[in-house]
Amino acid sequence: MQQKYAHELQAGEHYAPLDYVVSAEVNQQFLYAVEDFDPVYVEGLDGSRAYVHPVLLLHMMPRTRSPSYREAPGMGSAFARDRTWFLSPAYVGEPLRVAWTITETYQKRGKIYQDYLSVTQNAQGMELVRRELSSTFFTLGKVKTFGLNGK
Amino acid sequence: MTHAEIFTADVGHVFRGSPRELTLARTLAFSGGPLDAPDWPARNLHTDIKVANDTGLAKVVASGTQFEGYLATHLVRIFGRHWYTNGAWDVRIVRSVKVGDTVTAVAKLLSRDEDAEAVRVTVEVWCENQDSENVLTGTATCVLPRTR
Repeated sequence: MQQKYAHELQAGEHYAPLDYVVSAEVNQQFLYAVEDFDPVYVEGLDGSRAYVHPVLLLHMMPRTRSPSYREAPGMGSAFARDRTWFLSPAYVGEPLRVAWTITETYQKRGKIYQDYLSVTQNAQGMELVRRELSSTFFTLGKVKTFGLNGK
Repeated sequence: MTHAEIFTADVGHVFRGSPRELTLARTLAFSGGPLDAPDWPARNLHTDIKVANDTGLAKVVASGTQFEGYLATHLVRIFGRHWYTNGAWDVRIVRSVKVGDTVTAVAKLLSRDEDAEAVRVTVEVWCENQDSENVLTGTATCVLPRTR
């Protein structure tokens, strides 16, 4: 059976989880991108490994990162609202998993909205970052929203 | 700035971050994928004018997450390491940011509620561009132990 397009998924359905590991090189690439050279992201803190910069964790949490995310031809998506809880630091080199659950879908002013929960956990199952994201789908060429979810 | 200031600042105090220019190089570093990928930079609406045009945008725009990163950096400076374990925000992106724009993260102290063990601090947050237009707005909270 062909996989559903993203905008066809309903509350309770999931996008496939993503497993990844942040290398020191990629972490430092993002430090450069956001001009934040705090030593905690290079050397760690109190003997710990280097922290993953929070922006890199956020960057991996939109649903477009899911291996199962499939956008219909001619459609794009954007996020409208972001509620994020930072619960524990992530470390360079540790396995991380992001999981997505759709919590609500609705239409407003002709646009499809999809709210979803995105959670990053470490290998022990500890939640590190939790995000509640509200997002819209739009027809390409007619974009009027600002938080674009480019992959 | 150290996070100790958050314990003594008056309600209404404004903490301004450093202005950051979203240069093409930093935008590519953020949205282009790993530097050692064979096809770097990845083509998307944050890195490629054709993809941006196809989406309906006149120019390449930065990922909203990139300037959320400026906000995260600013909040870590205000709240210290507690942000990593007790920080939260509720924000909306209200305007796009183009390559070459300069963005500053700002936080304004709204309240500081203390009990015997902890201090819950709430700040209004926003990111503004070089024309003092808001590109992101919302609130953030952090729970800090009373022992600093």
